[in-house]
Amino acid sequence: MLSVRNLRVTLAAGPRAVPLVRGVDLDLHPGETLTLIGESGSGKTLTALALLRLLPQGMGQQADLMMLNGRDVSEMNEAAFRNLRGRRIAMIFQDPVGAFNPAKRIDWHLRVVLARAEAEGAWQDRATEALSEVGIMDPPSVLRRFPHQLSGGMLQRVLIAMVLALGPEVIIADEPTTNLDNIVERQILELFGKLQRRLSSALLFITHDMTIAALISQRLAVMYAGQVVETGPSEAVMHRPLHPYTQGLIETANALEKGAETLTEIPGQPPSIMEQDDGCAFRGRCIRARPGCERPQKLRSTNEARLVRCLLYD
Amino acid sequence: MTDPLLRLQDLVVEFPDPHRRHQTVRAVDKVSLTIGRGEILGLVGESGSGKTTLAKTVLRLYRPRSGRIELGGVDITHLNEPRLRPMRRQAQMVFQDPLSSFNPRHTIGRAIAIPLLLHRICSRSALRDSVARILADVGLPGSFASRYPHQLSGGQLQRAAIGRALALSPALIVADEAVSKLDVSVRAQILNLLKRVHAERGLSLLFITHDLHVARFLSDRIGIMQGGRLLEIGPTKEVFARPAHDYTRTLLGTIAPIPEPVA
Repeated sequence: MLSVRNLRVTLAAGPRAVPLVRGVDLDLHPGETLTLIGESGSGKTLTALALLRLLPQGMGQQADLMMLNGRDVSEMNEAAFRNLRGRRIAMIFQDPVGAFNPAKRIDWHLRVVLARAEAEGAWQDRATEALSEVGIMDPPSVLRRFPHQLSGGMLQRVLIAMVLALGPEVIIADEPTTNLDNIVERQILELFGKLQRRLSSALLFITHDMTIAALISQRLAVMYAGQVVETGPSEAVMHRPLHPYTQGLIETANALEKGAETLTEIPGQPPSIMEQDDGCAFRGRCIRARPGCERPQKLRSTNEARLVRCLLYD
Repeated sequence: MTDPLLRLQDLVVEFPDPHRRHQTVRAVDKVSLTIGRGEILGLVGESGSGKTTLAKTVLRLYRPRSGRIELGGVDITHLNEPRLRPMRRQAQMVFQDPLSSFNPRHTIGRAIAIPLLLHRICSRSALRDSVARILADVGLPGSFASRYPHQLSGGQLQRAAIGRALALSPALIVADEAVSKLDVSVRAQILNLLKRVHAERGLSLLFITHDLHVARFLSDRIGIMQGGRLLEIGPTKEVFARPAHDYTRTLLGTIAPIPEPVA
């Protein structure tokens, strides 16, 4: 459904461009959920924005290939891409409040979206239908409300309904539950799970939370400093993480879960974009770093359709 | 039993209702609790449950409507600002967002030095050494004293914030979602740091979080808040093993298991 090769995002352009996303490959299949997991600054949101061509001004993007539903869109101009954005590939943002026009009621938002989807029949019926589909109990009353009158969880549901009404083949959800409370978060994740089983769209889910990633996705791609450092089936990555960074992340999460006395730390912090070189970006924090880590690392394939960017697996 | 360090009795905090004139919203509703010396109390609740309001009221950043706040045996409920000042030394706060809790125009060294000077803890000549020692305590190099907040990462800045709170050797630190904004790999560092300084200094901690895992890791006791009320409070193990309240059970249900690595 979506195939991306060597996606790069840079700050500024030309010879002094600073690389932020450094050659990401992605493959998304219909009905599948792939989770991009990484810390802030790892490039996961920039990757998502680049897929939608919504990068902020001053950033540039390039890709060798960007196949969307059988068409290479990497060279497509903005006017043509605008027809695809929303209808073929759509995004659910972290902050639902910011996604709504505060001066307009919910019904206005759904009308705009339904018109764009060229939905047939009375828009009221379609809107009611769309809202019930995401588990909203009383659609008519929700339609009359202003965004500020709804809770964060409710707004996120409405946003999901709007995206679904457009019927895109690829849905990108960027930390859609990070701003929500635990219980509401669980409900929204369950909604995603339910929708995923029913729809044929591919879902690219972005999170920094290992627990959520394990719950929601079939495959994981772990990002660090602008690169995918490990990818594979979720089960396999969670049970046998290969990259020392992934191992550290999962160990930390597990220690907290089990009520350990002290937590396993990953010492230090991610490199700043100014300190970055072409070698392994994790080597400064890695207990298993060795000579050779300063050289660029390729993604190495191991068994079970897994890839890892680490010298240990040569 | 020795006297608790902090005692709250029927604490009520109200704010004017923005939607209805002359009406009030009750953010904290008759909360009573104690924190012993050297104890860590985890306060868990969702947003809007009143836990941050409670924390700020403990430090008298808000005035309670009614009820009583006792810190170290002194009733501070109605103390005026000059009389409150010596009490402020006893209780310090670490905020959620380290970047907005530092003055962007002050270096880290200055941010830590100001409370030391205000409370006359240290002379100007000894200031440099004191700041360096505080930074070392929280695992930061002394050279960071001359840096500005924006030059530090979130984790480093939160370390500095903890250092600033520790500078006055308080008896109580109130930490409001102190690790929520930090990255996963850095969060463990800060949690371990909090645990270490607590063990080394024997201070009390009121740790506010929405994350039950984090609360369990640190706390001796856990209190659960909802809608301004304290639903239940008890030893961490008890609350996890035998939650008394339906709401607590729902919260516990949101803890998703992580598969064990086979390794």
